[in-house]
Amino acid sequence: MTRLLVRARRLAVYRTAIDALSASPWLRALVVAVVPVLWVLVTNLAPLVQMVAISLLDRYPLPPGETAAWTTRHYRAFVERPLYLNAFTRSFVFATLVTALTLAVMFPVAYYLSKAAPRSWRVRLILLVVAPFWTSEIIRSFAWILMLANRGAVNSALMWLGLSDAPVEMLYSRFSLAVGVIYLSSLYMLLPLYAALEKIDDRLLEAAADLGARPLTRLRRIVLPLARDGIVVGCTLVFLLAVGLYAMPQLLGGPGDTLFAATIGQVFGRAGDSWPLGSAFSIILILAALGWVGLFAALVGRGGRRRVVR
Amino acid sequence: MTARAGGAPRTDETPAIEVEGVTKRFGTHGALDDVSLAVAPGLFVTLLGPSGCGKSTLLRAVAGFVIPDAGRLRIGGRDMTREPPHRRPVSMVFQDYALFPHMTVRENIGFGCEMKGMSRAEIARRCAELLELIRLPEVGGRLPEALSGGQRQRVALARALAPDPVSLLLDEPLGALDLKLRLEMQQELKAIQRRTGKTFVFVTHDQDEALSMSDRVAVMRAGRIEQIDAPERLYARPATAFVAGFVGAANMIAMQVEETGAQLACSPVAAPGLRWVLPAAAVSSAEAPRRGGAALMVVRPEALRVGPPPAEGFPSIEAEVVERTFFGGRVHLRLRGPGGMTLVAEARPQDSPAPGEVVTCHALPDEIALIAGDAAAPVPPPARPQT
Amino acid sequence: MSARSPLLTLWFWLFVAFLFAPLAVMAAMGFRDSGFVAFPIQKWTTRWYADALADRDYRVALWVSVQVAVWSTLLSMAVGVPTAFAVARLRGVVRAAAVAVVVLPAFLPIVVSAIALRMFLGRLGMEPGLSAIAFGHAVGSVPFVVVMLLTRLNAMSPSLAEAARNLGADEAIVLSRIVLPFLSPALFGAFLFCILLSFEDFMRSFFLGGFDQTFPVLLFARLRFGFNPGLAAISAVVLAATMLLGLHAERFLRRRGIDR
Repeated sequence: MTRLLVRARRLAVYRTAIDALSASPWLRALVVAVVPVLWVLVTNLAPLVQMVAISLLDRYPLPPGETAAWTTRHYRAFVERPLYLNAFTRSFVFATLVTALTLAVMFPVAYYLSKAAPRSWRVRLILLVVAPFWTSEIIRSFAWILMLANRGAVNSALMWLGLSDAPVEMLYSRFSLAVGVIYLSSLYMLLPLYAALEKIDDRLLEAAADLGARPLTRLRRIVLPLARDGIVVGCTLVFLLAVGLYAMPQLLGGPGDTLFAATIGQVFGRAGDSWPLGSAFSIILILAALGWVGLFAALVGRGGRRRVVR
Repeated sequence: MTARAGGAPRTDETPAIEVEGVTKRFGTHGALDDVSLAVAPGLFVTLLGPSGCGKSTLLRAVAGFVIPDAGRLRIGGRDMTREPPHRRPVSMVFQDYALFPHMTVRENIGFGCEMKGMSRAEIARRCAELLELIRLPEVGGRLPEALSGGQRQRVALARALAPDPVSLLLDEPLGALDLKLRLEMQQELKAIQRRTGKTFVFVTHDQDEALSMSDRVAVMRAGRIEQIDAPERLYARPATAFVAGFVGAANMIAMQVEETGAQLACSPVAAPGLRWVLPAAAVSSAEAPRRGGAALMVVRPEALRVGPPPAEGFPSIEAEVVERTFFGGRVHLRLRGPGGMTLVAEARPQDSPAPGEVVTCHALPDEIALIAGDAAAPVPPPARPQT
Repeated sequence: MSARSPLLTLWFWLFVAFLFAPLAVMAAMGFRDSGFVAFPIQKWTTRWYADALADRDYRVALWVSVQVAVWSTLLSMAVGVPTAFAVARLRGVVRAAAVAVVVLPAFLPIVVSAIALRMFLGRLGMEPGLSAIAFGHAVGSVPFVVVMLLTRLNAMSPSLAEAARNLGADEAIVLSRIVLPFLSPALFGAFLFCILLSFEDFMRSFFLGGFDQTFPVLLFARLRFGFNPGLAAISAVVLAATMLLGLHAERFLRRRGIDR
């Protein structure tokens, strides 16, 4: 291959092309940037722009030859119909709670992996914990159905142990959904937390202990402030995942607990003028979710910086 | 050694590298300001200066990584100002060695030959030859990560020598080594240069390294070459205040010139009562002193002797010993002269005065350099190396 | 925190149990000799596993999944590699902005990005189906490819490429002999990662697929219809396969990521 390229230099065409490339940084930049720029425009930006446009149209798709009027009525529909607003609020509250729970569950796990676990085991333990995450959301939902059903593994174990006489109703509730979502999202919390905690120098903790700080004080004054970035990233990822869930709520959630993402899916599934309405809802979901996450990052992140400066 | 690049005819008078009026700006910051330099074949030339003085930029311009805004550049007598880096017959040794981590030592060394289209057999022979030269014949099959710092350094050198370049460009190649290894590698580098007869252009901010290894040293400041000379001459005859201060320690006494001619008479600005007479040959700056003009007298600490002058008219001064620091074979004396002048002298321990004593010091006229005119303007202390 | 270590250790292993128990239960359910999904399991059989592997629908869906995974991975790599190179050339605010735009799809709720893409592809005249799914998966994977390659590219000293050019290598040789070999662990890792991302994706496959169902979509449809141990069996098989591939990818990335 290399020999071929070295030989190719004897060809005038090749020399000219390569010389032009080495001589001009702009030409190099152009050659490198064509594909990325096109891709980003076509796949990342254009669909969103189109979605914003559709959300402001009276009707879409249009029969040939007709034009649609611009309107904001789809956004108004969101505020005016309690059905939609409730699903939206439910989604946000639910996703926020699940994020907090995931943080609470995963922080000790990340702490164990980064600080307490024997160094030589760490990589293997992380691989162990990461392994189940290569499975689809659907398979993992099904696994939890088998766990939590009335005649599932948990109930069967409870009754065998004599802890209960009749099956405990767990499946198709917010509880089962929360368990499923934590199961689904815990890796997205674990990895940023682990990365942040691993960077904390163990000697800092020893120094704090030397100065008389008790374990809880050390956690509050040293570990948490230094792990702040990891917490922000982890919570952001988990929240965005939880708020956009579509399949798992249908498999594990209760009948009355429709979440906003499912609402959007259903709206698109309907006939008629549903595309503009669904687009409007999608835009609302994006803006609200990114806004909520941005607010969280600003509050937690800024608090950290001020403390460091002082 | 005659490395003939592209068959261009050249005599031994043709400089290996010739830089003519090269200027380069990065934004508003001028990195190279009208620099000219000719390096004769087979010489070890060092570019010395504080960080940000443009020495690395000059080296990278020769290699082709920096295209000058103005000026010309010839390598082996051929104009290469616009030539892309891969067609210039110069090899660079990088500070971080830049050995290809996924190739064995042999593949690294052979890379340049491979690019020249040499046959496998030739490449193998060349690699063996170079591994012998750097005295590491057994590491050819290893990956760079399996080598020590000093070994990597040598492999980087061998890789640069392999394609038989007109000149080697070394960008602070010893910067990453610890002191002991560094001194060892200085010897080694010099020995290899002598054995191969290659032209070396070496960049460093370390004056000891520059003085001990080079045939010529070019001192750079703010994108310009201040002086280029053999190390001894650079030390004894600094052309500017900056060179005097950057290369070695120096007492620098601001003077006013009172008489010119075959003999120069001048007085220290701080002590107008003193009057010293120097031969005109003491002037080391390009500019000649003018009557009534400013000048800078440079006396190295070891040239400032304690004791009365051997003859009348020799520059001498009365000063009080403020501090005496013992360094084994010698002591440093910090002295306070008239007008608050601070001087440093080096003496032998057995005949050095104690603090508090007032002594007479003198310097021999041929150990004094006098810098006149603009070159005598005091310079801000050299910026500390950033890296 | 030595005093708290036992508690931490316990918590960690409880979490591991939480991760693996459902999967073990699922694999076990596949062996239940009954038409219904229920515990406890009294009679065991391997018939569900045999049936699942012989089921034509599963085989068709898995084949669709594989095709989608291969095409979307090739597309993701073809786009992700130059994108990483382009971003690596940028500095400061421009770089941050470019990274933000490139990783945008990873931060949108997937429902939204899937639907937006479907509407857009419809407008371009691309029908829902296998190629639309592959395209959608590539949209989702490119951010990961770029981030993984950038991490490796950042670890590459700029003097490596300069050294090669200095020794006589032109741009094409620098790319083929220096940059790509240096990137190869990340390239390989990103490749496996894309395959897995595509294989496990439900949402984009669901919204962008017409009559072509990937495996997760088929499973979703079957689960909404009712349960039987056969579903557990096929799930366990797919789970084992993806887990092995995933472990391989992770190991590869970590092992080769340390040396440089």
